[in-house]
Amino acid sequence: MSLTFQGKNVLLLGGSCTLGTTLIPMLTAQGLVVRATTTTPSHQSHLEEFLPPERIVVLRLGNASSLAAFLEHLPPADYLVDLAHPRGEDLLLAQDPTVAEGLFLAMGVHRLRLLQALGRAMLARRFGRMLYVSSTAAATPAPGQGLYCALKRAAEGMYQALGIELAGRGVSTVSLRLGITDAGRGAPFLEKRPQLPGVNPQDAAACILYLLSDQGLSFCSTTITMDAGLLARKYPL
Amino acid sequence: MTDAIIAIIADIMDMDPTAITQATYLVRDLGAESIDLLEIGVAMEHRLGIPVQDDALFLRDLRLVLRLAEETNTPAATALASRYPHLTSARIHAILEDLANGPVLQVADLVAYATFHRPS
Repeated sequence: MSLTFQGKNVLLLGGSCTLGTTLIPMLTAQGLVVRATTTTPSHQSHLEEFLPPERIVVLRLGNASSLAAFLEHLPPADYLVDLAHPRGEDLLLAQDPTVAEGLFLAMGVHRLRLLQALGRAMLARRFGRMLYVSSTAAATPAPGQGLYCALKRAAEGMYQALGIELAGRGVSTVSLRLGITDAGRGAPFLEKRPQLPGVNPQDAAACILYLLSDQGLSFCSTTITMDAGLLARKYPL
Repeated sequence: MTDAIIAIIADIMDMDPTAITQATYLVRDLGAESIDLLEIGVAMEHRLGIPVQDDALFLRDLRLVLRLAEETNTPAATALASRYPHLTSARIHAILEDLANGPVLQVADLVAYATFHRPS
């Protein structure tokens, strides 16, 4: 199946992760212009292996001045792939409230400001596609993933609502809940538990590519799961 | 500015621009919904370069401003003039007399906002 894309510019939010760098050459091969944000200069130099420096911006979503600077020079984006996710896990009753406040600010309020700016620019052009990469932990958190789960569900809710509000004007959204990805933190986790089904980052990136394409636009205002069957079992492996 | 804003409204509401005047009510006459107003604001930002604050542009918090004015014994006209500095005194008094008839937003209010907030 050949994919078509009516837009041109892609913004990867948090693009230096394995999934992001796996996706970049796939998007580029489709003739799309990719820009990516990353949180630190060290991640920036890693991203420079995949993108020219002028298409990489350091954006710390938890930092108001970093966000303001980014919004001041908002890059063109017909497509947004939101890979930003909170780090750190703790039992909810042990969670440091200050850390929680910062995470809600970054992943909730600041994400909304970013979506507002990008969404308004997309609405002005009457085309846009926003894809949020969520996690099966949003559906079934492990102990210690309470905050992670809450933040993922909050983001899914924003994306769902945006799609409901804007799809009639050409801007659509979708969330993809990935299972345990065989990359980053997921790789050592899977290595210790070989009985668990993992998601290959290449397959996840190909799925994202499809969901961004014109052929995938009917997946709108919904959340779909790609977990290699992880959550389908009655009893855990 | 008036023609540009009428063109935007006509485009988004899919209607003949000659049917729209400064006195046209966006909600009462054109049936504009919140998504239409959002898109009109976005178009004013992107096509005309007007920095838009939706609540003020569309007088969306008008009734809230009036309620707060009543609670603090502030004259209604004074409260509205403070919240919507782009509106003239005559327009504010017209709005206060028109409140019972439904949403008061007119095309002229958008023109006034754009003129007031136009970057120098």
